[in-house]
Amino acid sequence: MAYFRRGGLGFLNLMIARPKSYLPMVAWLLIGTSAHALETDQFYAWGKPIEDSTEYLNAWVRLQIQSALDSRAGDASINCEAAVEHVQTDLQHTIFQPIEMWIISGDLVDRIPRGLEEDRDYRKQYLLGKTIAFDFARWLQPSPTLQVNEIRIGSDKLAHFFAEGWWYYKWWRKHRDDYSPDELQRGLIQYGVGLEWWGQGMMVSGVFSLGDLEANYQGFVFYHQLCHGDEPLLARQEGRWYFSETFDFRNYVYPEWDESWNANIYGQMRWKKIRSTMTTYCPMLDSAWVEKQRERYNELDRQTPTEELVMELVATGELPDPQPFDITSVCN
Amino acid sequence: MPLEQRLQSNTKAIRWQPKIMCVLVFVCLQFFGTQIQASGAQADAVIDSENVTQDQALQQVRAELADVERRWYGLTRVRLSYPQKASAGFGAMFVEQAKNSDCSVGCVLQGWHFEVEPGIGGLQGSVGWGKLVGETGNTKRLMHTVHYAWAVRGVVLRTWRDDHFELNSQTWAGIEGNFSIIRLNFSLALMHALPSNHGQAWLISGGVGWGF
Repeated sequence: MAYFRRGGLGFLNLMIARPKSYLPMVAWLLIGTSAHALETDQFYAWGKPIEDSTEYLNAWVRLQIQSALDSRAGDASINCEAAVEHVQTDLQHTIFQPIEMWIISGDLVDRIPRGLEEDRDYRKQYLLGKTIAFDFARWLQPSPTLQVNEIRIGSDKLAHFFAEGWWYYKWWRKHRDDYSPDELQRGLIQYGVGLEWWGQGMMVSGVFSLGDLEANYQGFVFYHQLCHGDEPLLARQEGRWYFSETFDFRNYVYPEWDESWNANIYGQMRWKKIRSTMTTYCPMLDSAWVEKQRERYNELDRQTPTEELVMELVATGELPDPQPFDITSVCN
Repeated sequence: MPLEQRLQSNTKAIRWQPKIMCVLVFVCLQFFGTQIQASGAQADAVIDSENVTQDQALQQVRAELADVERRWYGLTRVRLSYPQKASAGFGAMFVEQAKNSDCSVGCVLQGWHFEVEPGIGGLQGSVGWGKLVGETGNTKRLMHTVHYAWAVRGVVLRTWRDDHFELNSQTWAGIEGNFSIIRLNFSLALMHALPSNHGQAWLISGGVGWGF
């Protein structure tokens, strides 16, 4: 219980008290670090048109899940949780996530950059494009920006949605009988903060992405909705499982997923160069396109559970304040 | 006048004038009825249009995923290993992939692959099954950047030097596990000597390299 009430990161205490909690993180750091260290840059796509891909993404999810369910159609004994276990194997893999690979190699989802030439320019110009020499974070291709419900997101967020969302869900299943709902929610996000600090962000690429945390949490909400709530997304009819047609990314994607709106926290080593690149976008802050986007984001933005915890951690000094890394601070 | 009285007096007035009432009802039906019908039709049209868009998207994604073709991609690696010492591998992976899929920036492959790897200490050939995430850039079919890959494959190794022990002109066969991450390649193999006059029966081979 003290684990939750300790608040903030409390990593050292956590490591000493609960080795089982950090061992998977260490293992991940060693063998799977590249996975979600894929970085993204929504500033690069500012002012450039992108077609909305919500319907294609919804369709991909529906097809993947229904196909996974159909492959077990003969197994009448399978319960909802077992169906989810089966479905997630098609949605999230060990390292690179199927939805992101489909997006970057396919034709249907519009994105920036698109194609080899644009991609080369992106790799040079994106926020991490000019950091330290031999930067590990640059060894992997940065994720492109796409549009869901008029919100710009990196394709890596969808990878987080399905992969870390699943980890969150497993964590929730493991602990749901031990803690109150509030403690569970707090512990869940704290678990995600730990992941983002160690193997999937700050310690690997020098980027602590609050947008990643938002996507993780919404991924958890999605996995939870598959079998729980008033109208679960999975339903059985005549012995077969079906995925609801009501699934829609619009219900999960918020402006907080856009890293040009929800500022990352950057490591000191890289920040100087990232800041320098970010300042090149300052003149665009007053452009009609950016102003309109930020007005819309402002209307949609709301206080999320992740933001609440992050603010607490910032207040207690356990997490750096993201505000100085925000474009508005950089440009002022 | 209080509101209730006002409403009552208005009602009375209307009650005493049935013709006016009829005209009002007629006008209301004509005007608001049409408006309600129009807004209902508009809502239906929006829903229909959304459904059509959803269905079209579903069909397009389904078609893209189903429209596959067989392709091959070239693979290379350089490696320091025992007992081959320095070696260079050349191979290919055969996959079934969506026709629209483009690996220039990145894609995922899985399928059978083979590799021939001549080295200072011997020549190795292998066939196996694996998965790979990488990019071809301008080359179309050479997977020159491997972000992540693994494979399990059967290997045959012919050693041709005896610097270490009795490996001279010996043939070995076994199984190799192969893993690459951010271009770094790690391999480990367990092999058994094919019938020979030499004494050593088992060989553990391992190496570190670049590529896949």
